[in-house]
Parts: sequence; structure tokens; C-alpha cells
Amino acid sequence: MSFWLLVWAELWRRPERTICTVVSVAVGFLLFGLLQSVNTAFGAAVARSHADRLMVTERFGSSMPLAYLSQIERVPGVASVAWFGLIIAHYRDPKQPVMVLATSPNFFSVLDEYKASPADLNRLSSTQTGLIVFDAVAKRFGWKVGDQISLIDGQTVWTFNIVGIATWPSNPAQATFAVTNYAYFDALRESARGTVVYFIVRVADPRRAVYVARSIDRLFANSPAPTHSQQESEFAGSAVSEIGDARKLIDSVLVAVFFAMLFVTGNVVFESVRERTSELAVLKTLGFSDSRVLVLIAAEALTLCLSGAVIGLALSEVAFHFVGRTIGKVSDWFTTTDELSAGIIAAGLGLAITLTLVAAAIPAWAAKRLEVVDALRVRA
Amino acid sequence: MSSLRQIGAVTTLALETVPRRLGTSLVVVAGTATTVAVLFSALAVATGFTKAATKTGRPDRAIVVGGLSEASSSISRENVATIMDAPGVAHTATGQPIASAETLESIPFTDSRTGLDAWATVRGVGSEALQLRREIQLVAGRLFVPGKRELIVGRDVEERLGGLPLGSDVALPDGTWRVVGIFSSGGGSRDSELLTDASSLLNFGHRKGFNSVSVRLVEPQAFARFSVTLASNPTLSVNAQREDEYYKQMSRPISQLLEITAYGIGGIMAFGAAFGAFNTMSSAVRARRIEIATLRAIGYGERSVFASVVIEALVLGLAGALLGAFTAWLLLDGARISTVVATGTPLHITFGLEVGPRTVLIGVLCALGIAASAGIFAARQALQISIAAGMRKT
Repeated sequence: MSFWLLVWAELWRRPERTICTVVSVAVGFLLFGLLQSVNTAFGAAVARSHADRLMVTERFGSSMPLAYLSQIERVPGVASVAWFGLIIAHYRDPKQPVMVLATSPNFFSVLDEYKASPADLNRLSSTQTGLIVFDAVAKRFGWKVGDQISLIDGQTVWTFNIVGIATWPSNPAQATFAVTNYAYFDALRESARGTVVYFIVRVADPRRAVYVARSIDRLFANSPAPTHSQQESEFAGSAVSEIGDARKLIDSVLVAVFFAMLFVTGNVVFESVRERTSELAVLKTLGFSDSRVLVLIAAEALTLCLSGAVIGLALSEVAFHFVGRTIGKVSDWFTTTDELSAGIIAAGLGLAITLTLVAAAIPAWAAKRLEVVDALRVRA
Repeated sequence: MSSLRQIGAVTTLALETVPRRLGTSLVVVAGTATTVAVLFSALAVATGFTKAATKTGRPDRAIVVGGLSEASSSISRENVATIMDAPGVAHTATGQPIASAETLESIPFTDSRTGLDAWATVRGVGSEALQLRREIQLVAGRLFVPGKRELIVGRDVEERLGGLPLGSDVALPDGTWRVVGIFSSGGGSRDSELLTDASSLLNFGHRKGFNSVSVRLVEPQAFARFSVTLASNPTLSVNAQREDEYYKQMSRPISQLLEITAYGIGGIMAFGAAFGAFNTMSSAVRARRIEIATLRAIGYGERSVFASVVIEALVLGLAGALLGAFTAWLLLDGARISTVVATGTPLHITFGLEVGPRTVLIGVLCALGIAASAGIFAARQALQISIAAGMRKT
């Protein structure tokens, strides 16, 4: 306890200096919080646009052989591939159509905006006739997990066992379909066996999505079923490639800010050690160990940097409301969340600690090495 | 001793002792340098963008769009003919209206250096387009032949895509297009586009309507006649604007955003730097305590002491400004940025960062402002040192 009392007393030895330093550091962290939030919002916009995803269809709208799969998976830049066939059926009455996607087992992991519980997914893979129904459909027909239902598609009657309910949180109104196993669908259907309607390709780097799309299409250009691969939204694709420039600018501003903060805090710690040379010697005489003195100086610097960081991040939280609105006026594509994310707060505090360590390293080391005799010698 | 000479003497003394206080003095230099460097860069982005985006427009041309902007507009073939026949439009010697009905597509290419996708705007133009835009000069190759899916590439976009050699084939979703020429329009946003003939591009996009019609006016004043005629024609629902005004208006939201960002970030940094600089100047005053008290004792006035502190701060701030400007210039020189402009035309624009005299002036003023505010507060502390207490050894 008395240790922190000492730190506190030292910080208020020159109040105006402490306040100025904290203000200066706080301003740095205000910028950090603001710019990182903008960066995050860019990232979120990219993620929302699914720029890393390609929809591959048959060029003329019919179906493609599932055998394309292994060739697509070998295209450089492809991370994972899901696929599905379609059953357009109705429930009891032709006026109650239900769309069923007969999907690959990795469907929910590739299209991760659809949410289904792991237990439901397990049941789907272990039940050949399993069906996961989206909540809007389940509600409409009053279906529950455990129900067995029949859907009619022309001559075929499909029997499904409902094993789970899925949701589409970002777009609940469009969640009007159900998902079953491709294997079941393909074994029972009467025509076009071994074909799919869609491949959904996840690319490793969204900035190369178009290039990957062209590579895929080139593979099948001269086959009876040429493909057409495209990103879900063109604009997202074009924006992704150019957001990089904005992010580079933001990063270089942050480097500059950190550099300036380093000078400000480093100098203050350095000066405060120099001013108190004789006091530190007295502390050592009183029994403070060398390393304890080092910790004392570091704790002082840490208090300066952390309080600056906390104030700065709090300010940026307030300021970001305004900034987000201003940017939103120019681009409807860029939307922001209202809160500073936990990640940014953690990164900010981490940065404050780094700043402390770098800024306090030399002065704290000097304080540790201080010889009592030298320090107390009165200079003429 | 006149007070000016006093100030000179005390300031010289103060500046001569700066090397002894180098560590702390560097805080002022580093603080102003980083602020100026950031402000400089951000303003260079804003200036470069605005310049590239507005340079394209000329007052003796008019652009007609069907909606708010070229990108979201559609004009039918019949309407194009009506617009080109309107009074005020200039004609060639053979009687053709000097006008171009144009269509736009945003098309992904591949940057040959990085292999990344690079989107660019391809503009399909009419047969009189080069008459209409005399600033477009072929730098290499030849003009495209209509209907043959040939492209000429703007200088900026050619560079952005890592070079599109003449004669190279570009694979686009509907097949290959051939690059036959490279053009320059002297630094406008047109240099960020690829040009081809409108009908090839309409086929490519499976579209029927044009995005815009641009016309040359017989004289700038003819715009009034031209626009009134279009507005009073019930078969048209289009918007005619002078070309320079159109580009200014299209780029304004982004220009403003970039400027607000530059001044916002610069202002915040300046505020922080001022507090850091005050710490330095205040410690400089403490270091010079004995000297200041001695000077006061032998008859130097308050004003000269005050001035010496402020001038020291200004000198350090100026050094920081120069350092920051120089660093920024080193980093920025030749840097080019491309951005997607959702609201305007072209959809993609590449521009060079531009450091104008105004940017330099603003940077220097900002640095001096930081230094002066820090210096003045520290100088006030200097005046509070009493002669007797100051000379006493602690």
C-alpha cells in the first residue's frame, strides 16, 4: 500500500507536468481508439459483404456435375467448397411451397451467417432423412423437432425427420427454407443424379476473389456445362481491393502517434528520475532494493500511460458516434457499430503497457543502477 | 540597451544552451514533426483527390444524366438523339454534333504485380468522343476500332494494374478484350478509366440504356439555351449540368470528408503535441532558472526573458515542422492512391498525393501554433521566478 502511496506522491510532485503528460497521452489514445474503430468498421463491412465467397452456377442456369468438386478444390486460392441441390416441393397444398437445400456436410460452416446448434448438426449428419428447418418456416407450419413430415415434389414424396431449427440472425425475414443431406436427396431423386445447382467457394484472400473465379471458370470453359463464378456483390469486391489503401494510411498515422507519445512520456520519466536522483538514493539507503526502485519508476510510468489510455479510449467512444455518422453520410456501405469493441480496448491497454515499457526502460534501469554514494555526493 | 537588443542577447543565450537540453528539446521537435507529417499527408490526400476529380470538367462542355449521377442513370437511344439535337451543341465541319453517349461498367482486372483483383471503370464512348475531349492524347498505340472489343487504357489505371502492355489480351467474363493504346488526359480522373466504343460495352453489360450524354457547347454561355430546351421537353426526364460543376458536385462529399479527416486528426494531434511541448518548455525554464534570475538581476527586462522562451519554442517548433514536412515528402513522393467512389464518377479513381504551397503554409502555421502556445505558458512561469529565490542554489 505504501508503495502506491509513494508512486502517487511522486506523480503529484509537479502536478502540471503530470496533467500535461496525461492529456498528451490521452489525446494519442483518443486517436488510436477512433482510427481503430474506423478500421474495424471497414473490416466488418468486408465481412458482411461476404467478399470472400464465390457463387458458382452453371453458365446457362442448369446443373453441374458434382465431380467438378475435386477440380475446384485444387484451384489455388480456394479455401473450402460447399454445394447443394434444390428440392422445390410443397407441404400438403401446392400453395404452400417449401424450398429444401440438399447440402454438403460443411454447408453451415461455409455459409456461417446461418446458425444451427452443433447438436442439431450432429443429428443431421447421423440421420439420413434429417431436416433442419429455418425458424420462419417452422413457425409457419408449426413444425417441431422430432416431427416427421412429407413434402411433395411432382411424383416424388420426400419424407423428412426434423432434427433441428436454424436461424439467420442477419436476415430473419428471408429464412424461408430447410436443409437436408445431399446424399439422401441424390440417392432418391429420379433424374440428374450426381449433379448440383450451386457450388459455394470460400476463397482464402478476398482480394483475389475475382482471379479465383476466373480460374474456376477457365477449367470448365469448354465442357458441356461451363460455370459462371461471381462474388455475391460486385461493389463489395471492388471496395475490398481499395480499402487496403485507407487502412495503410490509418496504420501509418497510428505509428506516428505512437512515436510522438513515446517521446513525451519517455522524456517525462527520464526527467523525473534525474530530478530525484538524491531521493532515490535515500530510498535505497532506507532499504529499498535496486529492483524495487526499478519497479517504482516503472509503476509511475505505467500510471501515467494507463490513465492516459483510459481517458483517451473513453473519449474516443464518445467521439466515434459523431465520426461514424459523418462517414455514414458519404457511404451507405460503411456502417458502424456504436461501441468501442472489446478488442480495441484490450489492444489500447496493451499499447499503453508497451509504451510504458519502452519509455521507462532506460530511466528505470538507470535508477536501478544508481550508486548511493555517487547520487548523494554534493556537486560543487 | 534597447529592448530589441536585449531580446536578441537573451534569446541567443537560450538557444546556445539548447544542445545541453537536447533530450527534452527533442520532445518539441518530435511532437510538431509527427503532427505536421500527419497533417501534411492527410491534406495531400485531400488535395490530390479534389484536383484529380475536378480537373476533368470544362465549362464549355455539358453532361446530361438520367438520375443523380452518371453511375445510377439510364438514357434511352431515342433520348440520346434528342439531346444531341438540342440548340447550343457544337457541330463538326461535316455537321455531326460534337457529343458522346457513354456507358460505364465497373470491371475487375488483375494487378499483374500482386495478382490481386483490381477494379476499374471502363467507359464506352461515341464516335465523336475525341473531338469532344481534345485533352485526350494517345501516348502509345492506336485508337480502338468500334465493335472489335478493343480498349485504350488511361495512364493512371495502366500503372495501377501493373502495366497492361499494348497488344495484351485481357480476360473478362465474356471473353477477351485487347489493349491497343494508352492515353493521357493530362491528370484528370479520365486517366483512371479505360475507353472503348459504347456498343461493345453495352453488349458486354447486356444493357440498352446509356449512362450519360456529354456535349460540347458552341460557347460556355450556350448552356442556358441547352438546358432550358432539355428541361422543357416532355419526352425527357434528364438533368443537364455544366461539366465542371458536375464534377465539383460529385467529388464534394469525398473532398469534404477527406478535409474534415485531415483537420480533425491534425487538430487532435496538435492539441496533444502542445501539452507535450509545454512540458519541455517548462523544464527548459527550470533548467535556466539561475541564468534567468541572474539576467533579471543585472537589469534585463521581463519582456526579453519572456521573448527568449517563446522564441526558443518557435525555433524548435519550426525545426519540427521542417523535419515533419521533409519526412512526409520522402514518404509521399510519387505515392498514388486509388479509391472507390460509390457516389460519383468515375467509380474508381487513382490520384497522386499533392503537396501544394497551401499545405506547406498550413503545416508550418500548425507547428508554430503548437510551439507558441507551449512557449507562452512556459514563459509566464519564467516570469514568476523571483530573483532572490532563483539565484539561490538548491
